[in-house]
Amino acid sequence: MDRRSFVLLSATGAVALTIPVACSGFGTVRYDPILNQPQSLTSLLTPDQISSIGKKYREKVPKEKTVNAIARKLLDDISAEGDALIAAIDKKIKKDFETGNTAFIEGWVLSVTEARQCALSTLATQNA
Amino acid sequence: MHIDARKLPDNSVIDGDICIVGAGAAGISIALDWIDSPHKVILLESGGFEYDHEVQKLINGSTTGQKYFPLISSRIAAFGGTTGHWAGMCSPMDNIDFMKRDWVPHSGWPITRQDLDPYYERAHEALQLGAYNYDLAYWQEKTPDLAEFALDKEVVYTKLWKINGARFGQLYKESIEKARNIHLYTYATLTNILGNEGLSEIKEVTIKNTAGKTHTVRAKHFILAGGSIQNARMLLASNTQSEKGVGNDNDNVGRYFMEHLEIQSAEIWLYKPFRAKLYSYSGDGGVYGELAISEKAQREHRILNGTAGLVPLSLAKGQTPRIELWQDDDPRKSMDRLIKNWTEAALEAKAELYGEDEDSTAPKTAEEELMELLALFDKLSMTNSFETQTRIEQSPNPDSRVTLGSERDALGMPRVNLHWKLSEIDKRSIRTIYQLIGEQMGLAGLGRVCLKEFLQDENDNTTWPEGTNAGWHHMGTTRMSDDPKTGVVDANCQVHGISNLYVAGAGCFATSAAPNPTLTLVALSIRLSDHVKQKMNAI
Ligand SMILES: Cc1cc2nc3c(=O)[nH]c(=O)nc-3n(C[C@H](O)[C@H](O)[C@H](O)COP(=O)(O)OP(=O)(O)OC[C@H]3O[C@@H](n4cnc5c(N)ncnc54)[C@H](O)[C@@H]3O)c2cc1C
Repeated sequence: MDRRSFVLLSATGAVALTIPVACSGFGTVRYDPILNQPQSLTSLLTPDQISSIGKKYREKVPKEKTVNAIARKLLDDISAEGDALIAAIDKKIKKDFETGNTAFIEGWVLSVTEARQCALSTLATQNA
Repeated sequence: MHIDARKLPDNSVIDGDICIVGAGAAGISIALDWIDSPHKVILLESGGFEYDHEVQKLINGSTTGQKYFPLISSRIAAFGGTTGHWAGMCSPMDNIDFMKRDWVPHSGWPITRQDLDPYYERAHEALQLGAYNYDLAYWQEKTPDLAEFALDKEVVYTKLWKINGARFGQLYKESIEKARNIHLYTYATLTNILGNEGLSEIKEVTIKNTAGKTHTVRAKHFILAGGSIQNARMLLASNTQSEKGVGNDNDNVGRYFMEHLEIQSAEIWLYKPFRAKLYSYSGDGGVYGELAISEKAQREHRILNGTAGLVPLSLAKGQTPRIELWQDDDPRKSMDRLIKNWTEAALEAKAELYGEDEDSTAPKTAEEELMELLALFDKLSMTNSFETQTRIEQSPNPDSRVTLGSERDALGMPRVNLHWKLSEIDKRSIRTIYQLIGEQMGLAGLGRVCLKEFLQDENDNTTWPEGTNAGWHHMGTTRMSDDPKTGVVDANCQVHGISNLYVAGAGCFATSAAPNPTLTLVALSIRLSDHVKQKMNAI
């Protein structure tokens, strides 16, 4: 199993997490855990804010309450990893803003893609 | 020529061709336009050349509804009017502001922006604003570092203001005093308007003063230029011939009072620091910019016209809402508190960012302090985080109104009550404006926008935060309309049904647009002046 480490900043400080890229079992989505980090927001928002946005998003969109459901939405037409994945997500975010596919959460005007990433990051923390 | 009406024998009768009531931005602009004409102009001013608190007390009144500034200190009752301490921010209204918009109740003027354009140019002269040019490229050529946010102009563009706090009292005292045909009467407060039977023509007005004198002024034409609230008061209180007052057959006088909502609404967080000189209130560079919403986007989202001014977050943190600071009865004291707060906020921000200044305690003149403050604003404008201050029209609302109260002032005139009322579209529009700016900032890859808590619940369009500011801009109350049923004055600012009575000022605005009102009200006043000239020449 391919494993990748990344650092997730949490309210209590920097926590190193190791997340499985692919889980065994039927229908699970394989993805690079870098996806858990909303790169477009980490320099602007605190980890607490990201986590709070993630929770709110899951409340607002109950259909997307599992890692699988969210990851599937995020990766619909992407099969990249690492920098290529970041670039593909950036493109998706831009497209969201272009088409008005935005989420208004805790006052922030966000692309739905980055809001989903926030949600994914909260789930990843829970599952860690 | 100047005459102090307190020194005239009691019950004097003054005759002239034109009588202008009020020597503020509107009244003085009109008077200047008549200098050296063959006509005798009577310019009546409630106050004297200096601030006089006894006169100031005459404009006091009560307020209900949305929290407002004390009426007594929201205007200045002296020669020069409220230009005595205005900020001097000027920008013309947009085309859409004059149009009927089916999503804005009671919108639509009987004139267009094109009708006003030549008068905007002339108003620029009276307000000493320099070139009548609001094209960003023109100013960027003069000042290269006026960088604009690279946003899609089809949605969000930069609207420009020019700033010059022209103090009409100081600027034009000499010209008015020296003008042979302008007869300025200070300490001359209009208390009653009298017409012929049927009130189709005004014959004379009564003026009084705190020295206990009463005089009569007769003229061929009368122009009320006392400010929106006082103009409505003069019409409503002149009820000796008609119970409803003058020009109020259709119960429109005093209604549709409008202000600009000036309210801290969002934060903009950028990925990289941006040199926001263009958006800084430093006055450097000749112009000041705010983020504005295109006509197309306003139509698409069915929102009001509004803009977002940017204040570096470091500075905004220390600023107290003006509505809280401006609560003294004496406008000068309120102004001092405001400047003190802004200075302290700027110094705190500076200390936080750059450390303490060694000679920060060295005594400075007021001028030096102001220059330092502006330089500081400029310095702080290089940042990656801003608070936005909305500047937005309010939807015309007939229940937002000035009425007469039961109390009377020292001259026996009923005082007013201002009931300031907002509408749901006002709040929804502010929210949408920032959602649009947020989308555009995201699309451009510049950063993200976060709306303040009061805007976060999309189902709440009625509650407003404590710090909801207004701009000290009194508009509406004698609104313009072709139809006497829906307005007080016609397209020429003539009171419907009264051939020689006119209103000059922002009271005539049918909608209030986003920009501060004085440039437009001066333009409208000069247009009215031309109209009266044409009428006089036609006789
Ligand atoms: C703190 C502050 C900042 C402002 N900043 C800006 C700004 O940046 N940009 C902008 O566009 N606007 C600004 N304004 C608003 C601006 O000052 C007014 O729009 C403008 O002065 C209105 O002009 P006016 O001639 O209609 O009324 P005023 O300037 O108020 O003049 C009216 C005159 O009429 C006299 N008068 C009233 N009643 C009577 C009567 N019954 N008889 C005889 N005389 C009477 C008064 O004494 C007064 O002198 C600001 C206002 C304030 C208070």
